[in-house]
Order: sequence, then structure tokens, then C-alpha cells
Amino acid sequence: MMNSKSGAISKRDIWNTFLLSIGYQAFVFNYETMQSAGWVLSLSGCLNKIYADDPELLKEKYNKYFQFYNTNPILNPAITGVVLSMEETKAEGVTDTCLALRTGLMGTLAGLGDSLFWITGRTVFCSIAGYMALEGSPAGLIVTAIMCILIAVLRYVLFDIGYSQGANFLLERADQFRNLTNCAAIIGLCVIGAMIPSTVTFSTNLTFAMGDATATLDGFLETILPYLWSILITTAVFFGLKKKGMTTVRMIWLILIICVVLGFFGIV
Amino acid sequence: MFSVVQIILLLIVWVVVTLASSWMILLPYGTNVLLGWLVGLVLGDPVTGLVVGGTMELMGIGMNPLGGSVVPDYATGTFVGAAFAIATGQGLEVGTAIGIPVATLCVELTVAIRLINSFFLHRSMAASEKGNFKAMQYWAWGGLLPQIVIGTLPIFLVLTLGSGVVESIVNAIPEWLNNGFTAASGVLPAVGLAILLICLPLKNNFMWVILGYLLYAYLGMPVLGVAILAFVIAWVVYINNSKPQAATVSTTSSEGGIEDDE
Repeated sequence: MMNSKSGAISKRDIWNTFLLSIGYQAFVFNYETMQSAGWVLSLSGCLNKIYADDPELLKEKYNKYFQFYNTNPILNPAITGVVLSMEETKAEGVTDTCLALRTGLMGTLAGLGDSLFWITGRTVFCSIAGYMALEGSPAGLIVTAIMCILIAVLRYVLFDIGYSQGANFLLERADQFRNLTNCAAIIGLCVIGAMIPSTVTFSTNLTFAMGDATATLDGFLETILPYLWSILITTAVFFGLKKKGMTTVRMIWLILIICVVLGFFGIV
Repeated sequence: MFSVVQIILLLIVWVVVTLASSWMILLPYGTNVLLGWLVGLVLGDPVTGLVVGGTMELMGIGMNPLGGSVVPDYATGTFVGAAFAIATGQGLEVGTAIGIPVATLCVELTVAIRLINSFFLHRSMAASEKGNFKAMQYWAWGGLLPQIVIGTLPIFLVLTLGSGVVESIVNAIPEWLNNGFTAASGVLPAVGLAILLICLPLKNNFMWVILGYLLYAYLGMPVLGVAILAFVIAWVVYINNSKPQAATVSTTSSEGGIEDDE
């Protein structure tokens, strides 16, 4: 499938680079340069061979590639493929071009990949697997397994396209990517709309006097709007998270504390 | 509490699944369900494992580690929660009461792993600076170690705890605390959903959230059905947006036509 263009590297080297371009995030993810070390590792097998005759130049190249890098790991093979094909030309100053491309593409692909695979994909497929599991059935895992295989195939295709067709393929499609990102957002938002009532659950024991009879607070809220608790809670968390200094982890602690306090007073 | 064979099997399950899922992104979806199920299979109660895994999976939706942000470690929460739920025979209630705090506390471990990784980064860079490219690769490979060792630490501690310790921990949880954590497990998915709403372009798209709500709350359509319908809508929008030039041409010409008529 992927034959080397210059002959300096073998099919096996290219395959190894592809495999590492899938898992590169696992290697040395850190706060300084994020995914750069793993990314260098994925390319190093091939680069070491292509530039075996010029260690000084190779040093310079690695120095540059160790700079900050962070993108969506599912789409990363496309970038690795593009850079590998360009480095294979051994053109002078090619690394600076590659670096500019890498930096330019990582933002675009992060936006596309994060909204497609993380935000929308996780919302849809994790909820399917999660709901089926709540009923005691592992069947949802079949759906996620199929998606995992499709994504693995996609990563191979992306690497192949990146390697054989170069950067133009990706650059020409920037508008298409933006369109795709926006449309993925529609699916995500629609599913979130359905998940707010279906996954966010809350109930209290509170009752209040209504005329002669007592009514429960939950029943009262339900007559206003179905799943009103879910809507109120999600809205409160939404605006709470937008507050300055509020992090996800703090919000979770806050919810835990409030729920435990409510539990202590026997309200929930 | 667990036999040696079970402990070894569980450790293998843990390392393979977490490395493949959160670090290699080979298993992007359903990781917690898979973990819960496998823990359940090893300990002989797959259904309880699945229920704990499913609960954590739904809580973790929206908790995406985007741009290097840290999110609760629901995988550790699932593993520990499922193991406790099955070992004590008390099910989901114990699973969430133990699993949720563990998942939240393990955030600190994620931060620690990334800080330690800086050391490996600098060793690898230094090796490349010296022209020792093999050593550069070895240090990068070594960067797997902090994740495996530190990430497995809480799992290992829990697995090797004696049954007496676990019993006393579980028995020490008063009922009101259990009730609080059960309530929290219903509320916590709101955090993930709220984060998603913040990430997505909400401004001109809020009607889709309302549509999803209406379909579920008033028509009782299951979430999968909503997702498929949303896919159809997105498809139509995509096709419409794909030909912006053709669309503008036709609108201007029709507008021109109306003006001519007037």
C-alpha cells in the first residue's frame, strides 16, 4: 500500500510510523509541549534513516519538532503522513515548512476532530453503551466496538492520504471541514437536548401545604414542565461553570458537598 | 478479598484497557462500560459491573480531556466502584459511593503523571541534543512508565486490601452519605452536558437543544432515535451549506426577478 517515495525507508518503517502516529499521545504527554515528544517518537524511526548521513541536520530537525504540539489524536495521522512525505524529499529548509504546516493544521484538525469524535461522538455512542449497560446488557459495546474499528480504519486512510497526496488535500478542504464541524454540532446539541431530561435525575422528599392537602415539590414542578429539575440543574451548572475561577473539578466537589448535605437533612 | 489469579487478571484488564482507551485512543467510546463488564466477568458478577460502568459512562459524557484539561478519572472510579460493589454484594449504591470520590480524587494523579512526564521530555530532548537518537527514542518510550505505574497505584491498593478493610469502609458509610452520593450520581451528568453546551456553538443553534428535549420529554423518543433524526437534519444542513455559491446566485437572481416584477 504505502511504498516509500525515495527508497530510503522500508514499508515496515512507514508502517511503524503510522502505528506510533496512532498512539503517540501515550508517550510523554506533559504540560510544557503536550504531545510533541510522542510525535517526535512516531517520526523518528523514518527520520533517523532518511538523514542517517547528516546527524547535525537531524539534531536541528528534532529540536524544532520537539516544540509545542497538540491536536486531536484521531486525526493526527494525517499530519504525520504529510510531514513524513515532505521530509522524504530532503529539500533544504523543508522542516520549517513542515513546522508551519503542522502548526497550521493542528488547530484546524483539533477543532474538527474534537467536535466530531469527542463532543458529538461521545455524546451519542457513550450514551448508547451507558444506557444498555444500566439495563445489564453489554450489547452497547458492539456498537462502540464497530465505531472503534471504523475510527482505526479512518486513521489509516488519513495517514495514507497525507503521505501520498501531501498537504494540499487537507488545505483545500478547510471550508468543507468547517461545514462538517458545524453540522456535527447540530447532532451534538440535539442529543444533549434529549440527554438533559434522560440522564440528569434528581428528586426530593419535600412537601408543602396547598390548601387543605399537601403536595410534593417534585410533583408540583412536574406539572409546570416535564423534567424541570433536570433543566434547572443543568442551567445552574452551565452558568456556574462560566463563572471565573470555577473549574470542572471544583464544580464536581460542590455538587458532591451539596448532595451530601441534602442527604444529611434527609431531603434527597 | 480477591484471589491472586483474579488480581493478576484485573491488573492486566486495567493496564490494557486504559492504555488503549485514554492514551492510544483506540477505544474512544464505552471504555467505562467495557471496564465494568470485564471487572464483573473476572469477579463473577457481570451485571453489577455493567451497571456501575454504565452509570460512570453517563457521568463521564462531556468530560473530554480537550486541550490537555484534566477531567475526573471515571475509569479508576468504575474499576474501584465495580470491584467494591461486587465484593461486598451491595451493588450500585456502594459502587457510586466509593467510585465517585475515587474518580474525583484521581484527578491529582493525572496532574502528577503529566508533571513527571516533563522529566522524560527533557531527558529525551537532551539525548537528541547529544546526537544519541536511540536514547531519545528510549526516553520517549519510557514516558509510558509514569502512566502505567502511577495510574495503576490506586487499583493495586484497592485489590490488595483485605476483605476486612473493605467491609469496615463500606459499613462505616452512614445511610445519609449513601443517599447523598446516589443523588450526586444523578446530578453529575449535568456537568458533562453543561461543558458540552459551553464548547458547542450555542448562539445560533439553541433551537436544536430544545428540539432534542421536546422529542424525549413530550414524544418519548429514545436517545438513539433522537441521534438518528439529528443526523438526518445535519445531513440536510450540510448539503445546503456545501453549495453556498449556487445558493447566493439563485437568491440574488430571484430577488432581482421580484424587483423586475414590481
